[in-house]
Amino acid sequence: MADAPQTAPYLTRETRLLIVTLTISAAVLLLLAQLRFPESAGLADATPPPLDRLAARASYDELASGVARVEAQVFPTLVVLRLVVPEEDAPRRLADVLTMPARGVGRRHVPALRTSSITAVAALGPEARVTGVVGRAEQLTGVARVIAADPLRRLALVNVPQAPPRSVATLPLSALVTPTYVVAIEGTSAGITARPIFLGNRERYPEPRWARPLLPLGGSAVTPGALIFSLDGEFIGTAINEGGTLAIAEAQDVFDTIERIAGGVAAEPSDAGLVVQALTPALAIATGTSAGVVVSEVDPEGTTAGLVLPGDVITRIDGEAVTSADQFLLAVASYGHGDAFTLSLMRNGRAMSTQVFLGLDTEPAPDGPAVELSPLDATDDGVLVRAVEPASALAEAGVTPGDLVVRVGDLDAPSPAALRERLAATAPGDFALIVVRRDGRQRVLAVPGEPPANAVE
Amino acid sequence: MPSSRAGAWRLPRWPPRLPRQRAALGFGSSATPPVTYVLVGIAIGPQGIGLLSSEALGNLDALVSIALAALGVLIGFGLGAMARRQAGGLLVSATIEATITIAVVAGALLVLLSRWGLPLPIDVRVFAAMLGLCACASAARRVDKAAGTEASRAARIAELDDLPLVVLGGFTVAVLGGQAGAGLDLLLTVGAALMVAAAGWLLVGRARNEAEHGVFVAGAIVLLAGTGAYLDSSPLLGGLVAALVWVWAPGHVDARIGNDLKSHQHSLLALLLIVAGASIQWTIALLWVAASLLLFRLTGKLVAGAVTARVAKLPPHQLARALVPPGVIGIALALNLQQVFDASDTLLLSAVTVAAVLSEALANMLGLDAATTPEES
Repeated sequence: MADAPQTAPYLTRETRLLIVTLTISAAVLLLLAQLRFPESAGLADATPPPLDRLAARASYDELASGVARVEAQVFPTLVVLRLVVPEEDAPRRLADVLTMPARGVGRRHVPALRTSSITAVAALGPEARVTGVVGRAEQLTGVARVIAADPLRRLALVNVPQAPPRSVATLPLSALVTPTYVVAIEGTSAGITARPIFLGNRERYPEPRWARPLLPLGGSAVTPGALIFSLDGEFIGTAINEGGTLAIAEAQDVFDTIERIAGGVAAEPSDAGLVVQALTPALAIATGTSAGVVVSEVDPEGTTAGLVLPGDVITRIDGEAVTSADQFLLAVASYGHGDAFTLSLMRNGRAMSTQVFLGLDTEPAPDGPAVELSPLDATDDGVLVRAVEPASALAEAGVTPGDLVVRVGDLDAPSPAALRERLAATAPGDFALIVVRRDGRQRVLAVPGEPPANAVE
Repeated sequence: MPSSRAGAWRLPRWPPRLPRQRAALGFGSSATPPVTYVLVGIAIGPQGIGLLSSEALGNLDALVSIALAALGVLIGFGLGAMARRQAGGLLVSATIEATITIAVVAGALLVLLSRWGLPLPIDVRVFAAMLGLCACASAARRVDKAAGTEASRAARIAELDDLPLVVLGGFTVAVLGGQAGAGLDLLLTVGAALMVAAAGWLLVGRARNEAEHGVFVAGAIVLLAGTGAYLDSSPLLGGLVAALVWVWAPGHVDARIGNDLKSHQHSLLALLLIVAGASIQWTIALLWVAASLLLFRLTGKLVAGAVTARVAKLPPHQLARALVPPGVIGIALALNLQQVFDASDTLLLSAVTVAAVLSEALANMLGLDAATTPEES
């Protein structure tokens, strides 16, 4: 009988062997991947010290290269603003020089992130007086100045010297995996500095002033106003000091704020005409409410006049529980003019709610540094300044409400009319010297001249 | 009695035979198995009897650079010889094989090293990639004519897979060691090698006697090593570039330099392997990495062999025989990378060297270094 023809096997022995090897390798890979390098004392001792040292050095090397990468990527988008702090131009005695300023007082350099070729955002309040940028010839005015500021979030849009615009990627706090290292950018007299800081916190917390939760910075010694970037050069946010707690406010909140104030939305936050106080145990029993704040005063001209009465307990604002007077007022202030919100109230033991519309801000945004002289009062010694309009020439010179102008030019004890006249006569680019008395001390200030259209009302 | 089929793999053999003669690209075969030198290095090194102390190892750095440069030159000559034999197809196959091996080994080691949290001197991705590079070197046994053309072609593929390793290794060294940026450092390496090669070509071509000739060759090699060390670049790549210049330059300078170097090649190789063996630091981390490298190198080589066999139209078992035994170029590259790192950590070099010794033993046990096919026996 003839042999049956032999057919080639579907899988050769080599292929089968290869499949077996691959299967074993994959299984071993999965098995080994479950292991962790032993860090127990007995086994760790077997690892020589140089390896440990090198492991630590590797992380520092990575950190250093990360910071260097951020520097190369981000520095072109930054500028350091030079500020005049209130104390800086005050008359000084030796005792003042020898007194160590409190931490955070006397901050003179603040980093700002460019938002366009001529504007930048920085963590500054409306009272900040920017005199220039580091690296440029210092001038009293003109190099950099605050265009608009949000007093609630203490962010300012600043006019800075022109530079090509560069975009910066942002990283939401929700996408930031902690613990991790980030890069804090701070301003110094020598320019921008970048250093790594460790973020160990995982928990974010809500803050009424900000739309998004904040990330606490813990014990990291960061100057408020520092700009925080990821090691990949993404903008995370700004370091802020909220009631003594250092935290990071998210980048998107920063940009939203700047967009709002750049659009001319009123900078002055509203309190809806309400004065509130904490709910004490006695008040809680009396009002039959366990949580909220008690309305102690309602402005008859305010937006809540007739809607809210003294003695009402406000328990919620737009559904959010009210826990303290400060939290409530900040929550109200976070609404812009033209916004509406709902208050949940307890009145005479009955729950009710009311909708509050914050009036539209009809006051146009100032189109020039107009000098407001109307709130000036004549005294025997000179002119008492009762109010100073933000972004006016007087504000730029450093005049604050309560100052007594005792001399303008060579005229002692000027009248309001004389002061108006002297300031109006100052040509643009020139300065009028005035002497003001503040806190018992006199100081000399230079008030810049303004174009005739904006000079004196 | 049934005869063994062609392509059948044998069962592991015990006790294993001593490793056969092996040769890398451009190298003549050696009567002494390379692994022997590694074992000698382990024995006389700081963690052995201490004959070769840590200080002495540090002082050998310059000699190691010279040996690496000479090794690069020999590889370049071997490549030139292959090119003259129109081995472009084999080079493509070798590149495919090397790429697959590097991908498999580097991928697996990257997963493991990332998961283990092993303390490493550099970024885990770079470390895994370097392990993959060093693991892709193969050293086929020198085949005789009786073994047939298939065995010969498989051996050539195993030799040629050193080339991507040297080029990529040179690039890695330039990236890790250079100060001016990867591209510029690579340009500096190649530029310096070209200049030394031109100088060597002019000098050796005009040598009037043997003594002058020897001095010029030694000078050119030392200069290649010196520029490599100064620039923190790869003497291996520098040597390869210089050798290719000498191969294609008129005047048969390559043959004259090659003759001189071949008389010293085994001494240089022995030096490299002894230094590598003596540099091994026995740690738990080393055992973890070396064992994994051994396993995934074998997997990578088998997978790469199976794929490349289809491209090169070779029987897979024939190619596997040639690919699984480890090559000394991998150890040489690890030594070069070690020079770029801080000298006090030798995890990479130790792992590559130990894995090479174990791979050699494994290849021997599996009978993969058999000189002939079953039919031929």
